[in-house]
Amino acid sequence: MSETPAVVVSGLKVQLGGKPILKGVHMEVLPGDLFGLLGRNGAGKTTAMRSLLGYLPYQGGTCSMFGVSSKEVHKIKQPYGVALDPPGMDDTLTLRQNLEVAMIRGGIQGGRGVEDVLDLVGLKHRQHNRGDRLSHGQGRRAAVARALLGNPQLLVLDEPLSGLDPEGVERMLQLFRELSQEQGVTVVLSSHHLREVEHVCNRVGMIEDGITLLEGETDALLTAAGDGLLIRAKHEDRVREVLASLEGVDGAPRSVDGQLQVRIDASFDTAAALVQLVEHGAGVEEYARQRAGLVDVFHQALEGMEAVQ
Amino acid sequence: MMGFWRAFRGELYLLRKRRTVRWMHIGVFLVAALFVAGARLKLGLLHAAGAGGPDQVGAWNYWPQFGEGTRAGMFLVEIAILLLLAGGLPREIRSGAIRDPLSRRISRTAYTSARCLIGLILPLTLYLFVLLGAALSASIFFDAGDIMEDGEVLLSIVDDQVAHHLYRSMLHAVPPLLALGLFSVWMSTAFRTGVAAVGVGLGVILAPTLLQDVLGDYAPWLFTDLLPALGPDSYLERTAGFAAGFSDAYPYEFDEVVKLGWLTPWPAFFLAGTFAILMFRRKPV
Repeated sequence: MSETPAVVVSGLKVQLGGKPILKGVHMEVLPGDLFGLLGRNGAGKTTAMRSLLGYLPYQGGTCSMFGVSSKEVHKIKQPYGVALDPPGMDDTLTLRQNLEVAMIRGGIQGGRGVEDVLDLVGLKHRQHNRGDRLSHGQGRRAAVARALLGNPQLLVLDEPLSGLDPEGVERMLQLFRELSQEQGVTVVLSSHHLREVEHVCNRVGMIEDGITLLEGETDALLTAAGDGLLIRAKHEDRVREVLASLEGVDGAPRSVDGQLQVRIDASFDTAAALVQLVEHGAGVEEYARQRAGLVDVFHQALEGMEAVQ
Repeated sequence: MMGFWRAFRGELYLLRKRRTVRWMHIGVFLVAALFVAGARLKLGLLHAAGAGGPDQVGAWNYWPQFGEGTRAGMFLVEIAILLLLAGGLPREIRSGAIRDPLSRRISRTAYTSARCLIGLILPLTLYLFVLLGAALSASIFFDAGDIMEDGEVLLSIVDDQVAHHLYRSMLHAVPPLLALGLFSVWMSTAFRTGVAAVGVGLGVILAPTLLQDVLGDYAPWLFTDLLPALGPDSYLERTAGFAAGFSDAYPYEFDEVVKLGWLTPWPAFFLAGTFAILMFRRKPV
């Protein structure tokens, strides 16, 4: 497999109505990657994707897929599928007709057909429903189904998990994982559900306020973020005192949902810390060491950005 | 070129499958057919009340009823062209449906060109349905002999070229209809909302009627002036009246407008097609 990136976005700047929306987005996706473009609502994920796909003009930087500029997407030879938000279903047609017209427009001869993709996303029972009769989640799945038609080598999916029930999320993530790992399909998906995607994306990029905060291998980012310690106690002030005196504690604890969270490094002695907390009468009710998640990575990156500013 | 053909085949598929398009074809057929049937009913009631019978009034003849029925159907056709073609694209852009074809190696130029071609086909298929509806209904309810009045031959279908003028006027309607099709596609690329696209389009359709005094002799240069139903210089309207036996309904000076009408829609035709393609090239979707 060639290691020429399937997608490259560099220094992307986009203005809409004179207002800067993207101020510097970067992304490099290798063939076979399952790349998560992550960030909060309004961070600029959708704008970045639309620029990448050539739907929105950009004022600075570069965007390319398979080495072809996004300004000339029709010159791309490799098949790719797109699922954006809104799903782009023609409400005057049934789901099946939407897929059939996509087959015609795409000149799709081999690969997955209408039946196959309906099966994959679990919407066969809704194939005769018109676009406006699908729920939000079904619309998202329908958009993914259309993107899967034929034999796409790249999938660009904007918020494919939005509005899905837990079972649907699991099904979609499993599908993306199989496509990426077993069939070598490159998948770029955007999401604000960081917890859900951290187990499937091998690479992620995080953007906030139109700027890429960080980008890299998911495992490497999680390792670099270190572990976290979760403590629920009757006396938070005593917990803070004890933690401040311990080695291996990285930064001040944050209070989240009635519990304290603090980052720790490899030198932190979990058992000894618990003994100290008990001895100081902190009233510990819950005590757990956890591996950092992408949410923690995101918060760290945000703190880093704020510190720089 | 492949992109264009794929886009065009997709648009043809939509033309066949969209319920609004299907219903509009049925609708224009029914309007034309029912208009003729209604005319027969009205004449029958008038005859029963003592007014002229089939051998006395030109209106009892197939030819004027075919012409009038066609014209009645064309009122709906002209509005339908605008609604379906001008209103469609903004709605598709808003729903996001347009993005998928553009991701399938179909350039914007190819995509808009395909839509322009549909903008030529749709008016013709609607027109065909109107002609079928009017012809079928007129052939059922009226006789296609010479135009009679008081038992005398007022107009001979062959000698007075009644059918010839009617067919010619129906052919004359094609250039402005094609221009309207492309103009509607242009409107669809020019405005963000279907309401604005249809509203401005409707304004241009009604402009020759509303601005008759201002436009004067230049009116035929606005292609909507020659539309068979809503155009004030409709050739079809004149020939339908002529076929009914109103000899003064076909003044010779109208011939000049007819001659001009073969030419004047084409500048609008080419400009609308060009602007449609150019405006969609940079349109955010």
